[in-house]
Amino acid sequence: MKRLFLLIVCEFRMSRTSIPIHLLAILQPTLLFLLMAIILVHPTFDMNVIDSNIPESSRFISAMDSVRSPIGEPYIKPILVDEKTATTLRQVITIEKDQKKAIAHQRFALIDANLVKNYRNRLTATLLHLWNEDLGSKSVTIREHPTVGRDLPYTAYFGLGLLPMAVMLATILIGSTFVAQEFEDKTVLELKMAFAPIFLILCARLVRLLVFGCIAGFVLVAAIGLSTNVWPLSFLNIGAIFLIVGIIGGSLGTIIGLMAKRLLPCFISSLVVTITCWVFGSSFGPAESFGGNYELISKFVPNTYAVKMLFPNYFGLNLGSAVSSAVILALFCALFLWLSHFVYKQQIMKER
Amino acid sequence: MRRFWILLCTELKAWRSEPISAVGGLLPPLILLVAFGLIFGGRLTMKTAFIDNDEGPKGAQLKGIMAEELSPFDQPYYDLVDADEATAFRLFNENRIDGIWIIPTDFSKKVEEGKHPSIDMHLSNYNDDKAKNHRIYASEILWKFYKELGMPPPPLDRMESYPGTKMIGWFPLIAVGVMLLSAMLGSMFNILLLNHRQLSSKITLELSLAPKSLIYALAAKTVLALFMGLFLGTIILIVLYFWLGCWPGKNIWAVWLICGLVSLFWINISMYASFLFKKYITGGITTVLGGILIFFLCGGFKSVRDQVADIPFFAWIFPNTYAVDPLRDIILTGKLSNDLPLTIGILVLFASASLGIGFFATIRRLRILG
Repeated sequence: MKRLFLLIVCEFRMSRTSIPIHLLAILQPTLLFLLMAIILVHPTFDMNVIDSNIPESSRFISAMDSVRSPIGEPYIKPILVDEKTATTLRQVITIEKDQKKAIAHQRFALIDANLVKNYRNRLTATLLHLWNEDLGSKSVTIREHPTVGRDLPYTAYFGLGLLPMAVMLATILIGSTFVAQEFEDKTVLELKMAFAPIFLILCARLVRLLVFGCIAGFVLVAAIGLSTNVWPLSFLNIGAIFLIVGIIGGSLGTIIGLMAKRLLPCFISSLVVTITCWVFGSSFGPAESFGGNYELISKFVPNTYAVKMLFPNYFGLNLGSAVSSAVILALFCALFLWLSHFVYKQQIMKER
Repeated sequence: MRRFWILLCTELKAWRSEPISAVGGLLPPLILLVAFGLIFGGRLTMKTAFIDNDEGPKGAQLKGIMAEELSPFDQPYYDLVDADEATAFRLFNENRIDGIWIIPTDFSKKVEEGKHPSIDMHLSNYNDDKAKNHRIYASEILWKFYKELGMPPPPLDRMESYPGTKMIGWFPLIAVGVMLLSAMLGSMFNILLLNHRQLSSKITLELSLAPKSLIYALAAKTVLALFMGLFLGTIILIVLYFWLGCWPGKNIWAVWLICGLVSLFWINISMYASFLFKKYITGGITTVLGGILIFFLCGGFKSVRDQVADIPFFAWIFPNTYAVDPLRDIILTGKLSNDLPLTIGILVLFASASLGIGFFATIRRLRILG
């Protein structure tokens, strides 16, 4: 036990040799999240309207305010413009009236289908609101049954998807680069001749990586909480998930370092693995909701299962079976631990 | 010129000893491209179970509208899932479907009598954007439903005018952003690699003591990194050609010019940063994650022209924000946009400022470093 303790102390002392790398690996995902939070999709859209000074026009503009979530944000922010300004705009609505009927005419100077769809849907929702008012009891009411008490910002889910990536980036990157550095600095021979058993050396390294991985994860948890006011229901559960992801990341990092042996390929491989796990690990939405090949690929990525376990801890809803996700994640964990031990033995022992 | 060629050949030899850096500029964008293609390139519909308990015909009529009503993507808003109520709720709880519509038994009766007909809509709202889609898509369905029912006409009817007949989908917009990212990351990674070689083999000492100007040395690196960036960007462009069928044709020179000017801006920042931090890893992490961040911030995910208000103010200090839309015009429509000369002017300013400041600061740094 004392030997393990001394090895851990040694590991942490080694961290002091590359503080900038540690800081970057820990803080980059949080920085990514904070800046992304500014530009991620937001349900409120600016819509330009020319106020035509006719009753239909003012009725339309006030109806725009009614297009909103009953438990969240408004969907339209009407921007009143004059006709001269309207010529320079890429979207504008005018209320036109002849003897027969009045029309809300939306003109576009853009060809982005997604944007056009969003503008059209909001216009229809406004017009339907007016129509429903006129129809009275004939109108069809939609009774909503949402899954959570208030609409939660997409940023919260995006942050949740980033959490396993934050832990993984720190553990893979720090883990792999340090192993590679040992090969480059030839200190790997000391490891070969060490009296301590391999699992003890790996264990000490893993402890260090787990500490940094958890720090990276919890810094991001704080950033998500402070920016969206969505906090995990249990910090203990979150910590446990971080530990499992950290073990996978740390083992993967060690394997990459041992295989690549050189800093550059090792660093690039680590980044590629981290980014792949992130983008295919239900990062932008649950893999099941996208289906097809995305869902198929996501099944081989540990982040997917980490997201499934984090999901109920954030939203109080299940994303598939939490137990099966925990079992699969534990299997990933055991597999990579064994692999790292095996590769370590192979690569270190053959070093001369 | 001869001096420049000698230095360029030397840098090329250094690059050839570790060409792995080229992969650094290619793989992250390629992974992003595949992931975004799988997420946003398919049918962007709401998978919804429609439970029709209605004893009359109106429920079926509503279901028909839901299946047929098209969005500007020329796709239906909904993909209806055939399932009984229990299966529907199981799929909904597993997030395999986005929502459930339940039509009550007396729906038709209430519609005919005009006595507050209603529908139950179950939706996930842990993502406010999807919840919004549930609500505003429902309006499209009801609008068509009222029209088919022959309800009294709406107080205001709807009309839309578009500038052309062809719309551009979301994924092609994103893909062009990824192509720019690849050119940018490719050049940044390569300049990092070239500098890392010099730092690790202590050639910086020779550089610092060089009696002649270091401009030639830096120019050789810059040209090589620029070439690599454009090469990687072109590889992504070829991928886009086979995937989406878009190609700039004879206007490819404009694509290279725009990507080259953007890359020049970033090469000089990376060049200075690599000599400042000295560690390749520090520069590498910052490059990849910073690059992805720049991709998202500077209109990689949306059209800058159409959503100016959504572009954060600090994104305007990066050339990518100005470059991405004209690039989309060239690659997706094959045409040069009217604002191309202005865009190129702005990009030239960015690139020359970065070149001037970058070379000056790097030379100073190199002289001190030695």
